[in-house]
Amino acid sequence: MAQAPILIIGNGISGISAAREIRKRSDQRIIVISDETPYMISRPALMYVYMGHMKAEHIEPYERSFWDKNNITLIHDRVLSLDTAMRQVTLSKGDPLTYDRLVLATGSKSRRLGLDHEDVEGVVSLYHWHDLQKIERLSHAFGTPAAQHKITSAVITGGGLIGVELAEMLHTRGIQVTMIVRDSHFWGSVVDAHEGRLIQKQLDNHHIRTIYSSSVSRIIAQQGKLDGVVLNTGEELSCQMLGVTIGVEPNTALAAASGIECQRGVLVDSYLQTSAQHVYAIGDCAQLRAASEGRKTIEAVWYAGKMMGETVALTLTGNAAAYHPGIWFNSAKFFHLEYQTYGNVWPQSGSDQVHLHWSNNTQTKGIKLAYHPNTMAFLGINAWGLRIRQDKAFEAIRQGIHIQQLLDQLELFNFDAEFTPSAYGQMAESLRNQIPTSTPA
Amino acid sequence: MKTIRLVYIVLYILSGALTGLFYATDESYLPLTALLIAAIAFVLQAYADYAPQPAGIVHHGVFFKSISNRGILGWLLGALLTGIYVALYWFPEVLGKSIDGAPNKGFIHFFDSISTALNGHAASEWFAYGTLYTYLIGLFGIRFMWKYRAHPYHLRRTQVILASQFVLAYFIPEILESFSQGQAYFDKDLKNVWPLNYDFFYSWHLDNMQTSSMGMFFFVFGLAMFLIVTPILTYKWGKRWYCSWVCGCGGLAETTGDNFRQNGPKGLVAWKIERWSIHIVLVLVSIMTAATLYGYFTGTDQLFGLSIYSHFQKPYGFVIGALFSGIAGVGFYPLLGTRIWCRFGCPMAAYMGIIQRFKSRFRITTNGGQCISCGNCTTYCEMGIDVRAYAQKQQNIVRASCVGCGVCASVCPRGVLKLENGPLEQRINEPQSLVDYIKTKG
Ligand SMILES: Cc1cc2nc3c(=O)[nH]c(=O)nc-3n(C[C@H](O)[C@H](O)[C@H](O)COP(=O)(O)OP(=O)(O)OC[C@H]3O[C@@H](n4cnc5c(N)ncnc54)[C@H](O)[C@@H]3O)c2cc1C
Ligand code: SF4
Ligand code: SF4
Repeated sequence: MAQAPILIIGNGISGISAAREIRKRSDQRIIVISDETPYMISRPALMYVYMGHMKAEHIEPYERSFWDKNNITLIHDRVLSLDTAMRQVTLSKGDPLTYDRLVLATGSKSRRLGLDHEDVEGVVSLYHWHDLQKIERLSHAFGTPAAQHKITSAVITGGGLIGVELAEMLHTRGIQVTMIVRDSHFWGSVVDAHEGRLIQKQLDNHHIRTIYSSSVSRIIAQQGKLDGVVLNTGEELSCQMLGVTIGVEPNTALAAASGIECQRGVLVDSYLQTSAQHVYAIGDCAQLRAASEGRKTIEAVWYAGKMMGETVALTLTGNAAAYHPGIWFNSAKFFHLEYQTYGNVWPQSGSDQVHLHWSNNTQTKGIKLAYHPNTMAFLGINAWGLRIRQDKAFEAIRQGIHIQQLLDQLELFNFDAEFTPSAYGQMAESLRNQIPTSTPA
Repeated sequence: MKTIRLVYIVLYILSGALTGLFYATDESYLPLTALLIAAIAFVLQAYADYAPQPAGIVHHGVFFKSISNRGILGWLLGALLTGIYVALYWFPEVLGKSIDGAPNKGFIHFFDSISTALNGHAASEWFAYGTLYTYLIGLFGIRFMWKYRAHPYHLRRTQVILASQFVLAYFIPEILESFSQGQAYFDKDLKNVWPLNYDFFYSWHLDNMQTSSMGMFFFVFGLAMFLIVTPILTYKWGKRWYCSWVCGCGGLAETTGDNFRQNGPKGLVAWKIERWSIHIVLVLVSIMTAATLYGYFTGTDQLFGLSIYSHFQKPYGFVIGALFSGIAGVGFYPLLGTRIWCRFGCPMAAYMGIIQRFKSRFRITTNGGQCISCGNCTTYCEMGIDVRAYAQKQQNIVRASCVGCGVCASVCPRGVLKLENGPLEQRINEPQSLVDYIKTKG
């Protein structure tokens, strides 16, 4: 009998990265099952489809001929159950499948408010393709005159990345958006008030209303239709759409039901193996039993999923490899404001790191540098409206170079397009002045 | 904004009325006046469209609009453009070209007074075309400088496109023409280089250039452009110095065609066709030119018993010069994107592409592992390059066809791409997994 295949559940970045890397190293059969879209899509690109920048097919990272050419079998179906003893999964439409090894790459699901009427028409979240389709269905077409709008105002709760993306999306259909943010500034879990102001500036420029230090406490609905929301401050807002973007949580349903050990996520060791033999978990759904230095046990970001997929592929093809994500990095875009981060930059300074800030007059560019108050070693950078060369930032972080020395060579980080007037001279000058002159030895 | 919109609509109507008046009265100042008023209206419209938006490229609705998404409007525009080009190349009398010495009529007649002012004689169909072409590059160039105002690379590039079209392609040749009344004609566009300018070595052209010292200058300059300047500049900066900064075909694509850049065919099949077709054209132009030069130096009009004119020059001019570069090249903008000719046909692009691929300092650097595979770069690459395929593998983009327009880098929402010139080492790197990248860098 032919060898059973490697089965991957989930065709997101983690599952597909695993499939690709396995194929580079082995001829074993690979089957990828997903219930979302038949071909992999780039989840961060969902917004561009709604905005008309791209069509659905454009956000598929691989040409459709890729899968056959690489002998990767794709199944568009839902896995209903998993039997780790029999090494078998059952599908919603197809026949049960047996596996040699199984990789869970089931991703996340949107967190919910837990309020009454959360299921009425008009309450949306943004994670899956069908979430996007629902938002599209509820919206009027692009370019519809204001008098015929299906939705005139929307409320979005959650001051994070996905919330701002949803705001940007709805803005392109002429919908008035109000954002309800729990903290006193945007993305409070990651950035400080200085940086929050740069994001705020973008929202102001695009006429997005923001209400800080608030949350939605009640959903008003009539006959199954959304009418508005009530905030914890008692304020009432009428709206025809409520976007719930208060974060995501690992999608552990399948694993948990089959007896695999889960906490918040599917627990995995450093080889990404779950509590069940022959079963691995990667990407958003995985929770590391122990995080590596400076990293978290759950990291619901693209890059972590990509690296976990590539790492598990090594193990599955006979080169057992532990997961080493290395130095943290990430990026995002808030309307026109690009954001990149390298290394560990905490929102607030403390005993293990202090910060230097710079921003330009128009609040379209800014930078935040983190260094250690005793050793003066450079720890990380948040860049706003400035593109930073990853190689150089990583090199400086790895070497822990002295913050003064870093400022002398900051221009090396510059990855902005040619002819962009360099802000680095002025920036370094201003940052240098913020370093306390008498520093502890 | 409402008032501005009203003003430009009124100006458009006024311009139309003046055009009508011209055909009624034949007053010679009216065409230029009408063109200028329409230009002011166009610029006001660009202002009204872009100024209220915060600076930064937005492609909202591109794939919802009929005109930019190969909808019915796109097809109609494509048919209209194609029709105009067919008339221009093969039936200029439809456009009003004079027959047997009679005065011009209709469309071409509109340009007579401008032509007379510039070079002393009535407009030819090519003068009318060149004027309109330059006019469009000017107007759309200004419009797209608004659109791209947050991006200095595009501003600089568009300014150079406008300057080279207006000065090098239009005014200098027309003015030189007026100084050399009665002298033998030769092409006076300094940037129009063989093999793009395929009749450079035609006998009549070589002969005409030799009739004056200005002609000799153009002859030497033309040779030097091909043999020395192009390889050196392409080595230093990639083919972008020409294709997206200077060239007239590129200039129209980058300005007037900008709305259609996303419609180029994508994918491996298109890439394969492109590599074959563009190099075939390079071979064809070389054979045709070799035959031409053979005829010129030996004084015959035959090669291997074949007429050089009807077996080499005429078919090349018909199929490549007219059908491909003109009619399909621009006529199909809304359907196949703006760089059909540049991608699939231009022998100049093929020549520079070989240099760019194998010996140039130019590359698009991929910034570490930051790519999220979103596809904006690939979608808006007018050359149909799958930029994402490289970026998501942590690989620099080094492709013969890249014209260095820089749009991929501008539309990338994660700051992944940068056009740059640098040392040849490490320019071309193998695809890498993110884990391997982090192992070496992080
Ligand atoms: C709007 C948005 C924007 C984002 N932007 C960024 C960004 O800019 N940068 C960044 O780093 N990260 C971003 N993220 C996060 C990033 O997209 C995720 O971390 C990443 O996509 C997770 O990949 P994954 O492969 O682990 O899971 P997923 O991409 O979620 O893939 C899991 C798949 O498995 C399927 N599945 C689950 N259970 C089953 C089952 N039982 N049977 C069949 N199929 C199943 C799911 O339907 C899904 O298709 C964004 C996320 C969202 C929602
Ligand atoms: S790869 Fe980028 S710079 Fe090159 S042609 Fe395409 S979009 Fe322009
Ligand atoms: S636009 Fe940028 S992030 Fe998106 S696929 Fe291209 S390189 Fe990657």
